[in-house]
Amino acid sequence: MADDERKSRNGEIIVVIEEDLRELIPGYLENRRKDMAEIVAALDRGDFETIRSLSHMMKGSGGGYGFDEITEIGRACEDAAKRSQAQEVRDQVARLTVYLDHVVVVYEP
Amino acid sequence: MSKILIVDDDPEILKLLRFKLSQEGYKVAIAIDAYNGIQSARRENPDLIILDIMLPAGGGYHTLKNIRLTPQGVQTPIVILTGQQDAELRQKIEHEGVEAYLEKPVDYPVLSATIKKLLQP
Repeated sequence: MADDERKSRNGEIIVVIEEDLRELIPGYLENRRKDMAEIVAALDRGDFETIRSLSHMMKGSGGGYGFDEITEIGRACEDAAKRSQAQEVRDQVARLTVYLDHVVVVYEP
Repeated sequence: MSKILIVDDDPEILKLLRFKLSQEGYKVAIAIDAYNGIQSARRENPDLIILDIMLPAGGGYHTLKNIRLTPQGVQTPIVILTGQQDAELRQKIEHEGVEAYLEKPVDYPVLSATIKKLLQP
């Protein structure tokens, strides 16, 4: 899977993804925002099993779509959830927020 | 046209693989948990199965064992695609006899090459 992440001067995170995935990418990124909301709600309940499950899926899917950083965040968040470390989970949610706010996808054939 | 059954509980993985495999000309069937995976393996008679390990309603290991119980299931190539990094579990699964064991995140070119090799006449 094509993946080439680099930061541009204005803070954008440029990710190069193959053109044929264009129709799947907006939905994929939007669903990660929904994951974040679910993780925050699960934190409020102390429901680390839900956080672990959502993070595990993020870890498994991110790189496949070309977003290696999402896989890394998923891995760190899953690990924190297994140890019931609420603050570490919050840190990863914050990291994902920044990433989603700054990622810019460039499609290449 | 070969038919591939994907058994995975992650909708994003199902979406991605269905899209890419269809582009390559495969017929694709999907199942979202262990129970439906076992049922679909019998009903759909796929040429190859892509199987996740962490699955609701029974788990991938149980699914694998059940699929291998049927005469058609014994002969169907199975590619494990998992985010689970557990050496003991991997050993147990490989002992059951799978044709390939790949880790997530999915590297599609590797998966595609593996499938092509396994479906060669």
